[in-house]
Amino acid sequence: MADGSLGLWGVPLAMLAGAIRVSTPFIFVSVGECLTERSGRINLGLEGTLMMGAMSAYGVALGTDSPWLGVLVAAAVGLLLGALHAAICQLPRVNDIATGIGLMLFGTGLAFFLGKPFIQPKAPNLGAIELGWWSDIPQVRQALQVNHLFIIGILLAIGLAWALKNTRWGLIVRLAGESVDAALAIGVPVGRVRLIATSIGGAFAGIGGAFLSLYYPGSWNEGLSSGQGLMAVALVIFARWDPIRCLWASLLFGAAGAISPALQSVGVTQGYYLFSAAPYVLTLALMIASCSPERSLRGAPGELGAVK
Amino acid sequence: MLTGEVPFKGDSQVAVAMKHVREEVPDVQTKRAEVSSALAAVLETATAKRMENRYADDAAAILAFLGEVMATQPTAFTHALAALDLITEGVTEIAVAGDRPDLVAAVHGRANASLAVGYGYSGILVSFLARHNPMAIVPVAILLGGISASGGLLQRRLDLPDAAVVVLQGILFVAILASETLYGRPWSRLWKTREAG
Repeated sequence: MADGSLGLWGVPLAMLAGAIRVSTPFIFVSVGECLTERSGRINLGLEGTLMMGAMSAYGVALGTDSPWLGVLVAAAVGLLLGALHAAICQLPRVNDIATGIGLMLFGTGLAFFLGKPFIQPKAPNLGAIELGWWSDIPQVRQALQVNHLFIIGILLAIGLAWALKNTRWGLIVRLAGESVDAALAIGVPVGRVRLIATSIGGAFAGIGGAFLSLYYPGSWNEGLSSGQGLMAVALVIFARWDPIRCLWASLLFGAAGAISPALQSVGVTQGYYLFSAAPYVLTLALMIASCSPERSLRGAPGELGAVK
Repeated sequence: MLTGEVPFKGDSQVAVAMKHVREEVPDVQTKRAEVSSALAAVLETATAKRMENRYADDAAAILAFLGEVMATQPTAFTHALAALDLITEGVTEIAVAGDRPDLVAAVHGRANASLAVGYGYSGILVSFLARHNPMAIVPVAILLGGISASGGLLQRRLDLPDAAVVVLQGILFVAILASETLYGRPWSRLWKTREAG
């Protein structure tokens, strides 16, 4: 009974493992969406991008036996979908929220359509780095299996936060998001900035999808995402458009999601579905706790459609 | 309910009860000729005396009815696509409520959380396509429901994956939303933006 030996300590450990494992797609999608929204555009289609990324990564990994090539292709597919969204939204009078939902349907539908042959076969997995070598407890070792993409995601979030604050590129992106008039006045091509920001955001989401199909849960099926892409977009608002806070929000969300299975494994079987809702309840509670009647959404880019 | 009277009549409650036990329910079509044979067949099974001959639950009965209709009246079925979509949704609801994922799978070809999410978002898009006009929402919603319902038909008749209809909807939505830019006086508007840009 190795499982029982940890007792209640298994719950926080499982939450740590969940934070590391489940949060990676959230990190990628929310950091990508953060960049997109800071440039003044909302891309709700990232759910579709996530599914397309997952499907194409799985397909390529299956065909070439190289999971990292799959990740690259997923990023390229995400880039294309992001560029498509940006190009459509650039047309006058086109609503970016509605187009995003349209592209979400298109992306998920296309992923299901093209992904039918990939449901059964088993593609090679992205490996993991063992960070639990110092421990004798198998649960700890398992919890500290860290995928490369998780580390890349953290570095991306930190890098994006730094770049937005300190580089000329970051300034231009923020300017395009804050005020189109000011950006045009100093000669910034707003459309092109948003095109690039949305495309890169899409590429991030594609990589997030590759993580889903190639590492955890590590297979391709149609219920793979089940709304994670949308939730990640919501996390950006929750994180007040700050990449570092996106990272924390994703980790928190992943940890909360692991509560329910962890409690089950230590014998708490009542209210299974209730605990499954823990991440959403937690997000709602934190949103309510952090809101205030005096100030509206702090940190929101001025040109963002949802805030206007 | 179909005939306007109870199936068994008797002088006392005991007599009615005895008839319930002993006699078969009379054929609906002898009372009302216009009742379809599909419905009659389903009723016959639903009111069978032995429990194991009956349907397992309501959802199974409705499913069987849909199946009978599809088998006996294909043209009527295609004409009633939009209405049937509603019924399909209803069966799904019943099946979900009854915790019978196999029935959800039977109706939709599969059970899938993300697909159910898609339906809600289609609703938002319907509102956008109707340009937020409540009266226009009805025909647009019926059209979209018809397209959704045709997905099952495509799957059965042409062996296309069920996702084909989602792809179609996505393309449709994006194309229509993108054409919003042409609304009004399209060419002068495009010209203006080109001059400005």
